[in-house]
Amino acid sequence: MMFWLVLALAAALTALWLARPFLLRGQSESGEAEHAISIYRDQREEVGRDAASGLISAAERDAADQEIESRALRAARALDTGISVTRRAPSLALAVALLAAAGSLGLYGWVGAPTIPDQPLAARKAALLERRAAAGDRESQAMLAIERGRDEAESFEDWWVLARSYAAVGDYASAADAYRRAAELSGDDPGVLSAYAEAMTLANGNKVPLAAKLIFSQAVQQANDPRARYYLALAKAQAQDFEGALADWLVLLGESDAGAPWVPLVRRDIVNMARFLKRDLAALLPDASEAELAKAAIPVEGAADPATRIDRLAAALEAEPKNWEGWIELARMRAEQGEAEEARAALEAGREHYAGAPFVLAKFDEASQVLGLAEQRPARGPSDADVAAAAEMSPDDRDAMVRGMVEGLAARLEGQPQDLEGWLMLIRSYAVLQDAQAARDAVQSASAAFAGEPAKRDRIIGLADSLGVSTEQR
Amino acid sequence: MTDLTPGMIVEFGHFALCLALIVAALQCAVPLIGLQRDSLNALRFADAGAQVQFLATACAMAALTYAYVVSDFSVANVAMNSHSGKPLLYKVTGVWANHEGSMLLWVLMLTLFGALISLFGRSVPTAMRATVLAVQGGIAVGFFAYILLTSNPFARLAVPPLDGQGMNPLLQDPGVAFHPPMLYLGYVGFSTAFSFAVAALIRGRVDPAWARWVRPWILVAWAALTLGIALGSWWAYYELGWGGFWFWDPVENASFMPWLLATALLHSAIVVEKREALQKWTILLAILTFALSLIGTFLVRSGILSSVHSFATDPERGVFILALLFLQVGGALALFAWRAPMMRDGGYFAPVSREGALLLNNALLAAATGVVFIGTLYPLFLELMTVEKITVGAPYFNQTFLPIFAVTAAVAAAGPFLSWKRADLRGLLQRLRAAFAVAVVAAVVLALFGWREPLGLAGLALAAWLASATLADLLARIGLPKVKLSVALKRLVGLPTSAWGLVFGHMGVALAIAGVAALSVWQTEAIQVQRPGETQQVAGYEFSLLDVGNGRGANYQTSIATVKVARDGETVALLFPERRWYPVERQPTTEAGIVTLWHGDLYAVLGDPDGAGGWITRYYYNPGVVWMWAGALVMALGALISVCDRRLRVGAPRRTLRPAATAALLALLICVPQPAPAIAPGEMFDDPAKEARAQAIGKQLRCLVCQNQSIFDSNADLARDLRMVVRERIEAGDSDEAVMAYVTARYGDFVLLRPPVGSKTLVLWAAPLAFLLLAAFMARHYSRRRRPPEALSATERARAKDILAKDTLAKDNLGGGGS
Repeated sequence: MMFWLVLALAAALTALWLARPFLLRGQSESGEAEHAISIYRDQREEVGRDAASGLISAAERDAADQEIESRALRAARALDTGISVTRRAPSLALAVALLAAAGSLGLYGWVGAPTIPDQPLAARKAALLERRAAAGDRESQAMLAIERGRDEAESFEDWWVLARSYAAVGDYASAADAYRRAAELSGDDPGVLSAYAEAMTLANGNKVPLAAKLIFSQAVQQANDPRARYYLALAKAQAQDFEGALADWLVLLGESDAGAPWVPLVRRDIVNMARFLKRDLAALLPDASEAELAKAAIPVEGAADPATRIDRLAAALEAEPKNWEGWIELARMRAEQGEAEEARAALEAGREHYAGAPFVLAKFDEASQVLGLAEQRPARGPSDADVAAAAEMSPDDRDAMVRGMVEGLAARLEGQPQDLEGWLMLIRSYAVLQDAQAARDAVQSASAAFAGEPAKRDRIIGLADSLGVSTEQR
Repeated sequence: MTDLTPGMIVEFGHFALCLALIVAALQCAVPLIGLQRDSLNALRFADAGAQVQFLATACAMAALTYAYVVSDFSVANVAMNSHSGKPLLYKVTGVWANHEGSMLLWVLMLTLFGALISLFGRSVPTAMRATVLAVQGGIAVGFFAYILLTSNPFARLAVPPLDGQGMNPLLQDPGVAFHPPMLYLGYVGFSTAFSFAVAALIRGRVDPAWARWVRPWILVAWAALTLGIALGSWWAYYELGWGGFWFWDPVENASFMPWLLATALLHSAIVVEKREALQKWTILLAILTFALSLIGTFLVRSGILSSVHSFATDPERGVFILALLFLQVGGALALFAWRAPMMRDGGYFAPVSREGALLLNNALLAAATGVVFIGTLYPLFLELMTVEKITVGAPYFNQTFLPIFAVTAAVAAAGPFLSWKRADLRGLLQRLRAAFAVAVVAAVVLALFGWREPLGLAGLALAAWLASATLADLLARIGLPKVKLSVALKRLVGLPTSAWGLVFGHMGVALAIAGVAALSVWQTEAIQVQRPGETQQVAGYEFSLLDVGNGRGANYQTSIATVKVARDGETVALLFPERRWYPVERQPTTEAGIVTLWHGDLYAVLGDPDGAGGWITRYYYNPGVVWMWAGALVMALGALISVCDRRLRVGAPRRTLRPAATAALLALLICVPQPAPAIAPGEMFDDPAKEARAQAIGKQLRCLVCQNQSIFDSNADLARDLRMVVRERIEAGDSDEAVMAYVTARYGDFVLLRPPVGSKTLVLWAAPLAFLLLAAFMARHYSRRRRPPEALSATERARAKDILAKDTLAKDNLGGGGS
């Protein structure tokens, strides 16, 4: 209400100013001719000056004078020579004032948003974070911690903790900034420097930027920092030097304790690289586990005999059962070996892990049809019995079942992305599971799927906003 | 307001914008009604309207700026274009670094000019001033409606994001921060010339008084555009880091076209004022200059026409703006077609006369504008019609535009020596002898010192010719060497300011031509991989890379090199080129290390490391750079001096800025080109001869994803790929022609910066000739249509003298402006 009063006041002041010319009486002005003639008078004077200083001859002066005189005559003839006077016109004043005031207020009423106040970031951020944190959003809780820590951060420890919090919520750009301060305060400690460069890399979509590369090199020179060595190798891989990257990783792994925290990551990359380069993993990594060997195995190459391949895959699935394509592949291989029963068992085992995922279950059904293992088994979505059973489950079991369903949905949407309701359900599910990263990814994939349909995309983003899922790509 | 309504500043700005639209509509309608009903009240309303409209728009701008400063992300525009971590200065400049905000800045400038006319235009009769302001109001209505309906900067987000989406770090530069407002001041300033022209058409009269009223506004706008273009070019030179300053890309051309035409307008208005000739042509120029400004701002800069696709993705804005342009420019031209035949035209003058020279200048500048226009818009037109893409780059403009421009500049030297109406050709030649001698001597001396490129020599000689002729004219005016020095000095002090305007204007052009010629012909460049301690020779200077260190800035990480430049063993300067990395925006930028000497710049750029302790470095010696910027400054200064001439408020300036324009000054780069030097370590040939061949070929090929940059000027991936293709073909032993043929066969004519002559480009190559023919036709038409000098009878002269003698102008009613 107050706001509308201010608007009305502003409109009234404006209207008054605009009406003023119609309220003045008896102001007079000379006609246009006088303005023009004063200019010609000046022109003639200038001609006189030029003649006096010898720039033009007398004949030229006379011709110029004549020309100016004829202009003056024409101006006097054609233009209004009289004096005009203003007359008071209250009705016109009122009309103009009303038009201006009513027009502007009306137009604003149509296009404006008078209910939305200013929301400066500083004021808004705290309130918003607290609301979301109270609602249980872990990211907001971390950000709140950041918010509180940031203004007081002075010592190295403060910045270090702050940087790690940023990294924890996925804000690597801010993390890089905080690590930079920490690095300054630590006197360029190599470990901190490499954490800084790592944040820069992550902020850059895991591609090692040149600046980070320089810092990593510095850290390696000073302290042979393992993280820096890992990323330098990654940079090599990104620069298409795959052999070099693999070699560096192997050296790093060789020099690390078996229990060092980075070992699993390095091993994973070695396995992937070995598969990519079609190298024999067993030769590179003598202690490679079955699962790793299976992962690095090249499917097209029939090098290993079927039995070994089956064993490897089975072992891999044992370690990582959330791989429905793997289960189907295992079933196919076993069926080819004539082991129908084992094939069926593989599918069955897979089904167990995807009990709540109708799409995957359908794939298993399809596979068993194709492989001739079919035993009619209608399973699309949790039956009433399942739901009833769920009510009896322990919270952990229920959680596991829900996750299974969500994963199935995600898998289905990957194959058939043009399903708005599906995406909305998926995003909502991740939000419920408090998996912020997955929710964000889902929002992004969904937005991408409906890039050409703004209405649908808006629904997705609207939902994300209402759930507090931050979406950068808008 | 802040106190009364805490927390509603943004919405108040939104309301102010609505108010401005309504007031603009009233300002358009009421004075026109007043004109018809002969009501002084209604005419005076225009002043009040213009002032209110400006205040309201300023409120809106202030509110939006406030939203940026406090990072109010509930404003969609702020959320899209700002970031809470940005330095304050760039939060403020972020206001106009986007479509909606720049539109608001545009109308702010428009209303500013309206308010200025209402305040300082008091020497203009009320009826004329009111008509001008009504036209200004009409323009404003269209753009306010455009902003509110399609590009509202105050649109709100129901759920604001936690942080904004940032801004390109390349735009985080003072050059960009202040360059758009200056450029807009120029672009929008020509709306005044347009409004005066349309007002003259509405009222049916164009006389010398009209020309004097409009000229100060043309001068202000021209000075602002000159500075805006120079600032843009300066930014490109210092920030982008490839030593270039002008690429003939559509965005640059868009600002250059109105500049060229406005330069013509500036001069033709002098003819109207002095001799009451060329009136219709001047009106047409005023309309077209503003039309080109509009095209520059909205069609080219906004990207609506830069590609057919962007037009299709945002049809609402595009169609609206096209309709607006059509309505405003088309309406003005229709009015011109209707009213012009009824107007008097053409005072008598001989072909060899001051008027004749000015007419020639106008014809040539118009032809030059036409060439730039065709070169800029034809590729878009062709793509729209046939889906085929061609490129029109620097080689085309150098071959077509530069010759026309050189002739214009040469004529500019002669103009001031000519007297009005009829001049003595032999006398002219005599007076130009000295200037000619200076030009020849300058060329010979330079050649003796080893500067032997014919084109560069021609450019410098042209500059010397223009400068010495301008100086000779100044000396003649004060009577030297005929009178005593004391008398001459007294006359010098007494010279009218407009005479100084001419001297500064032409001197500035001469300086800029010298700078551009020297830079384009004698720029020396060396690209190499260097290890710390190594030295490279460039144009007689030894550039040594001393070391490369890492450092940290406010919100970026940097590699900074120390480069020592020595000549004959003596240290001349230390340069510190940098390579910066902004984590938030994930972009590297280049900060060139530059030391400016009076004759040129030493310029160093740091590139990527080669991974073995070496770094790519690019060293330049850029002669004449300072002259170029100084030339632009001097030119703008000349225009501003002319504005200060007392007589522009009453009397008649005898001579003023007559110009030439510059092949060069030319520059502005609003687009965001690729930062950093191109060329990766390791890709270069060891054999310098092969490398030179590769670069010579590469400079004729465009980077397919950039705007008119050659593949050697861009570090985009595609440019790199194309460079590798060129290098492979050279390695395979192909001749230069074979390499070009190979590339065009695969990538089409689009990769050629100089379009080939063919059926599709016939228009392009025929256009310059057609424009020259048109210009010749126009010049002939005007110099032939002579109205015989009017002979007044003795009675008439007596009456005229009587009219001119009486100083009846009631000064007290004119407010502060009068005489």
